Amino acid sequence: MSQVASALDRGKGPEDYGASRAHYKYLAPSIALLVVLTILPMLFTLYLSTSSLSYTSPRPPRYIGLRNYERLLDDARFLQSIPVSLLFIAAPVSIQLALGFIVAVVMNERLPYMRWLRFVFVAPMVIPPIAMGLMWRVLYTPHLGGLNYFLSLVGIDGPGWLTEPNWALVAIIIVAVWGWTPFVGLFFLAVMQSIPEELFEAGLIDGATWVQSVRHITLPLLRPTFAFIGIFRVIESLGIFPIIYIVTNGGPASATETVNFYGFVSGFNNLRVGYASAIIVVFFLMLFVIVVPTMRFLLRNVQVGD
Amino acid sequence: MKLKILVIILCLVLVTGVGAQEGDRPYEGTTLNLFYFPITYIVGLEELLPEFEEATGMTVEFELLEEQASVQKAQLELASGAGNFDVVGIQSGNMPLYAQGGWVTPIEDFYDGEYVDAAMLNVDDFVGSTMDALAFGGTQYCLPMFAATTILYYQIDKFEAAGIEGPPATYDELLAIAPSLHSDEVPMIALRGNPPAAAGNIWIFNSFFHGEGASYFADFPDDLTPTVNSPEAIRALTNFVAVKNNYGPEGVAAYVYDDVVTSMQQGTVVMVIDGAPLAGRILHPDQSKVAGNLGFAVMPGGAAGPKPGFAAHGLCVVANSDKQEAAYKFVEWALSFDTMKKISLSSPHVAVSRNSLWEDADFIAKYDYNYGAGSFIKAYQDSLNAAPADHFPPFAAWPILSEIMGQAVQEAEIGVKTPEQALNDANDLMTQFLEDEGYLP
Repeated sequence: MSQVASALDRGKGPEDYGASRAHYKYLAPSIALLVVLTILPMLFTLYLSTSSLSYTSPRPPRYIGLRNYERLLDDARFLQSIPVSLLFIAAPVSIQLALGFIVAVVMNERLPYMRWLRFVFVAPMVIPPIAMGLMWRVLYTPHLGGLNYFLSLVGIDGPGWLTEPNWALVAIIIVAVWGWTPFVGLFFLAVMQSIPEELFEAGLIDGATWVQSVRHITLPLLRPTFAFIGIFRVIESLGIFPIIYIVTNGGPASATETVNFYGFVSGFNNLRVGYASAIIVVFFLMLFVIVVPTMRFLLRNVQVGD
Repeated sequence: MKLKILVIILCLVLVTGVGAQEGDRPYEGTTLNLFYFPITYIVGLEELLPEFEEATGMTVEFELLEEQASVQKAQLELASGAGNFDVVGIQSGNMPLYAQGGWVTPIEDFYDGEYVDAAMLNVDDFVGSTMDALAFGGTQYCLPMFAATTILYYQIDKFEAAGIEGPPATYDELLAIAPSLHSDEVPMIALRGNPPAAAGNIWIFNSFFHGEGASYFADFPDDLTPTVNSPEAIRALTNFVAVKNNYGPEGVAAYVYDDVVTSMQQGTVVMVIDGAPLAGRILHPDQSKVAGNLGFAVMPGGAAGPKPGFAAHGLCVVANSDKQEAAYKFVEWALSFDTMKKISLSSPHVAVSRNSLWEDADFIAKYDYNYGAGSFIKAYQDSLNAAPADHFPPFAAWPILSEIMGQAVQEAEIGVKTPEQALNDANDLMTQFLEDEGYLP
């Protein structure tokens, strides 16, 4: 790994370390799969986005150039879905990283009943998103008891989780944080447990407190892990789709619709295939624009092999 | 020689025997695929399937998804020709889409086939309105299994305690009696709130809409200019919002039909307006807290009188199935009087689509709930008679219009727009959509 990394670092190509035509033959099946399963569908989506294909229209589909994209600029529901998408990337990911780190630090300590606490903490990871969504929908629904009942026990008048637009956004973020923080925490924990004990012992000898050890030893050593998980969660964060589908179904009044959710509604509910394809192309571009700078930012100063 | 004769006789017997079996079971070995969602009738059919498979030698595979997912998958796969279904269920609101798309074979094309069992088919016995709902352009495409309308369910003792003699006949009456029926502990009414993708708010709101005399189009089908922001429509939405926001339970703007049914079943609201076929669930012997205390009535109306909801569910033979006859034979059996009666008696399926079953003594004995405030079956039939056939306009683009309207209703309900703003915006969106799709110049 480090050999390859250093070769890449020096800007060398495959031929520099003995690549031959045979290499490409070995790669051919993977490339073919990539083309068939990823590249061609993407190109086809791009093509569809320039067509008027709609199964509810009396007209046969035709090429309409960028008309679908122009329509998107006037579509209030689409425009509203962009900030919602960004919120559902930024808020859950940053909270998951912060909470995941804190939980991992706690779980890394030798405390009583830690085995049981670890078990409880990772439990959400094994719940499928659909079941997770159903569970939280019940909790958010006032007449089924749920969250507002427990809040009322401590004197808090709970909000309309599913009927007030801003609270519905919060409701989705809570589910995302609850569901995926354990993954982030476990990842941090695994890396923490590989940090040599001697570093902490040296810190202790130098008089470092527990907080200082975390700040000056653990955190810097976890930086590449933060980068990796951060990127991974950003890419995965819009996989929140099933949660939205079950908990709010995009509502109330489309307040929790992300761009891909709106694409789904346009394509599958409304059967406007051309328009939905345009939405999905924009969604892809959005992800690209978000992920590339994020990778650069998080991976700055992180060396391959760290 | 004797052995030869014996062998020949044996062969003849075997051949004749097999021949006779093939004559009885010409579709032996055929596998059919049915796709829909698990409404009571479909669940009942699945339970009776061994009878059909035994009699015909066919195998029928049921693929059932949750309602919204089922509708989406069926539409997309039928449109693209990618599906592998022989029989599909349909909601009447989607009939124009399925017919215009050529996705299903007209069921009437089978009527003259020599394989038809006329007594089992008995097409004249189906409830006329449900047959009309599953026809398009004068052609019968599918056959009905489910005749749904909406009725008003209410707790009799709560009305008596408030000194109210009977259920409201108009929305004005409903609003007038509301303060005396409503309390924080037991709110007056629960109505669906989620937009229409999963049989949502439009199923109920359209009754308010048509009840005030509002219409979706200027002159359907000749002039498709949307008119959903008419004064009648604004009045309908204003009433709908007032009833729900002032006299509904917390969170009612997001209620799906399950929430409404549970609220009535558990007696946590005084009344609901929802599907009459849900009575079986509301009065479920093991779960209901209102059995013995439930009244049934035609829902209230506005300036144009009561306009209960109307929808039929049916079964259709898929056009690109290569087992057309076998699929038809399945539909014929599935919707026969005997099958329908068995299902209605063994499950809470009251929404039967055969006239003879509505008059059947066993059926009446099971379903004529009457707790002193009138007969359930009478309320059901009066509502069916009052329900407009165009409760969901018979229009291929209805799914998106319904989506736009559903969003507008919820926007008004949660207060992000006034009823007038919401309907003006919905009208603009519909106009733009109909222009884009080629329905308007």
